[in-house]
Amino acid sequence: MIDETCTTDAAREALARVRLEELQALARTYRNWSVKELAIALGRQPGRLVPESGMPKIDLVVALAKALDWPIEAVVEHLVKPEMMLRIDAAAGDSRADFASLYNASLEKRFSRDYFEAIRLAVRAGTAADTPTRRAAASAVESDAHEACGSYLEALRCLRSAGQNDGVELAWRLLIDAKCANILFMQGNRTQAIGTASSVLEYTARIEADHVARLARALALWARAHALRASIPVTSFEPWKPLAASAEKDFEICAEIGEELRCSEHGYHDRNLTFVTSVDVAILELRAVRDADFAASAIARLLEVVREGGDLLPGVSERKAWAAIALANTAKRVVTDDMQLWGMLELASAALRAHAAATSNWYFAHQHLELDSERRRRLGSLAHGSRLLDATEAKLVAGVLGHVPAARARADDYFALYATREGSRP
Amino acid sequence: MRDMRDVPTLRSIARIGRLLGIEPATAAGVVGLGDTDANRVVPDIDTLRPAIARADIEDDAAELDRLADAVAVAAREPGDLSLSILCTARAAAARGEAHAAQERANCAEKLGFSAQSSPVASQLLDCIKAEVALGEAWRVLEPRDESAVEPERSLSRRMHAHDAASARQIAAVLASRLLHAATHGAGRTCEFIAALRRHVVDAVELGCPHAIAWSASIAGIAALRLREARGVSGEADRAAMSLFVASQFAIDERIAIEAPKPPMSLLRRRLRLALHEWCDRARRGEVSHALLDEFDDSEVRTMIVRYPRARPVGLASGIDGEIRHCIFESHG
Repeated sequence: MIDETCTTDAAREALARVRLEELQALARTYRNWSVKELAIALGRQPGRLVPESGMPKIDLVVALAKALDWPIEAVVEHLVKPEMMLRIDAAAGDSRADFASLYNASLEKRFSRDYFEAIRLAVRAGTAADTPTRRAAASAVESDAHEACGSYLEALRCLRSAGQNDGVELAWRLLIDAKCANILFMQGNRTQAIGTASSVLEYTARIEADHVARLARALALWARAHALRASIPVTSFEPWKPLAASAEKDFEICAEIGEELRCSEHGYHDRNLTFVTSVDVAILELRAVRDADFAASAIARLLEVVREGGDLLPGVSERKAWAAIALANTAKRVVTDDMQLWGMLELASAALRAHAAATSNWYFAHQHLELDSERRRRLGSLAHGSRLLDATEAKLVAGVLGHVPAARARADDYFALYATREGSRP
Repeated sequence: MRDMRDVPTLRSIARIGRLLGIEPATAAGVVGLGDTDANRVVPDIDTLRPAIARADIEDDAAELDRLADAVAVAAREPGDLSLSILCTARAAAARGEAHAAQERANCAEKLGFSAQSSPVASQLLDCIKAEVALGEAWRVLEPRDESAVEPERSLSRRMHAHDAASARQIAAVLASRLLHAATHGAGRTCEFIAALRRHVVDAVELGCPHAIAWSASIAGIAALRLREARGVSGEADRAAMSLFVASQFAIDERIAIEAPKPPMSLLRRRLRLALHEWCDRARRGEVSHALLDEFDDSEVRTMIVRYPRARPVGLASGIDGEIRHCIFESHG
């Protein structure tokens, strides 16, 4: 047993060493550097560029990522991921005839919130798939399961690998891109989300759309509308009115397509399509941007939604979370009374926290942290300091910093506001 | 981070990440923040514009993506959001993805951006148009749209380049005219090749390395694209090959002059030219694994990093698993 462990560790170290050398060679070629120049850039002696263990210190990883113009995550992923052969073990015994049952079983497991099993079945479906489209579909369903359990980076990786297959049917390719746009939006990458979604919309406008292409279109509209909505500032928002109108139109069309899909015979009737159930609350925020007279009734309606019960029904909790975001933004734009404003923000923040903690939805968690840190900073000015993290906040901070790259710029703020750096105990 | 003894290893970060329920790559991304983007203060939009213009001329896709994010955060008006999208479009163009660049540029225009009101946006859009006209290296160039060719009158007004951006614009117009001329007989084709060649010489005389990088790479790619086109005569084909070689030589010579630290634009545009050459040779069946030498190997490795959408044979997708010898597939 001990021997086996040692062999595995040694093999892993050897693999990491080889990969580190590969990446360093790549960086040298990419930058046209000599070994000495590379060593200077990596902050090491030329003879000590690769540690014995193969596992570098983080400063070397950061410097290597800079040299390659890669994100740090991509370098680490390349260094630590196991060899391909080690990853393909779940597929043994599955044939192409099993694809449909594995795919459907993965979907069912996701709906029943057994995400680990949903991912396992999707991986098996991908290996059993006999066409590029089926492989892409399996990757898409695997991505959905990763997203549902809060692993956005893995979800995006699945979609990108699905998109790189040649020979995938256009409708599926578009659906994969639309899903990408949605995750990019949730990760705070609004510009990329708008670009990707717009590209899907351009294509779907030109083709005869089946239900997959229509689903892609609805999802792309949803992602683009949210990315546009989120771009509108809470102050000096007058020039953004045309953009609010454009986002509103996107939301309306997306809800129409969603309704059509629900009424079709393609199996959407019992699905919780967020872009049908939650679109009305997002539209309220945009109408309030366009029409100042509408703002008061929008706030009243959003307060009702945020306060209403039925959290356990599918879609209700998520709708409340979207309403909370709309409420917070609208209140910041129009409410002038400080007490009233902070009351609304606290309500919105609590609704977001509840949904985020229950579902590992890091987009909502990020919005909650933003609202809450704003509130805490304000309390700080009234002589209240930061306090230690509770278990839920620790989960939310770790999840947000881990999966929403746009939030990492605020990492120091979050740590300063939520905890001492030494850990969770004083 | 400065004192090596205080720096955690990747293994210990991976362990902490696992305890927090996040993957090693993600945990390292968070810990490594101190030296990366997170440290940057959100700048004002006005200070970002010169940086965008610089990244555009340097053909720096990674920097353009970073600036796109920064512009989105600093956006004061909808036009800024369009500029941010245009930056991502330009970044796609720098990665050789002309289709994606075109789609994003369309999206930016639909959101109400005006090239007239923003010189930097106009500069980005000019470059994207040029890249779209030359197409993606790994695809055969699509039939040309005649309306896209700039009228000669407007061209003659701007024939004298005074900086890299204008040199690039002129090269793009001449290249577009050349590719369009492929259907107009050998005489005119040779005439247009000569015009493009003169422009490369002008750029060399101008002495600006960026101008050389852009003018020569555009001329070289246009020459390869012309050879691809049907009905090019033997004379025109020879002239095109000669233009390609002269363009490559112009860039190599400037890199030698600028050594040991040539501007990245020269290296990047040389690599783009090489990518087109590799794809062209692969389409013609002139590439053999057995004949790849050490230089080819390093060139192909770099291409994999810079052009993730180029499809190398024997490699599933960009950097994935082993990095090994590979050539680029022809996607006709």
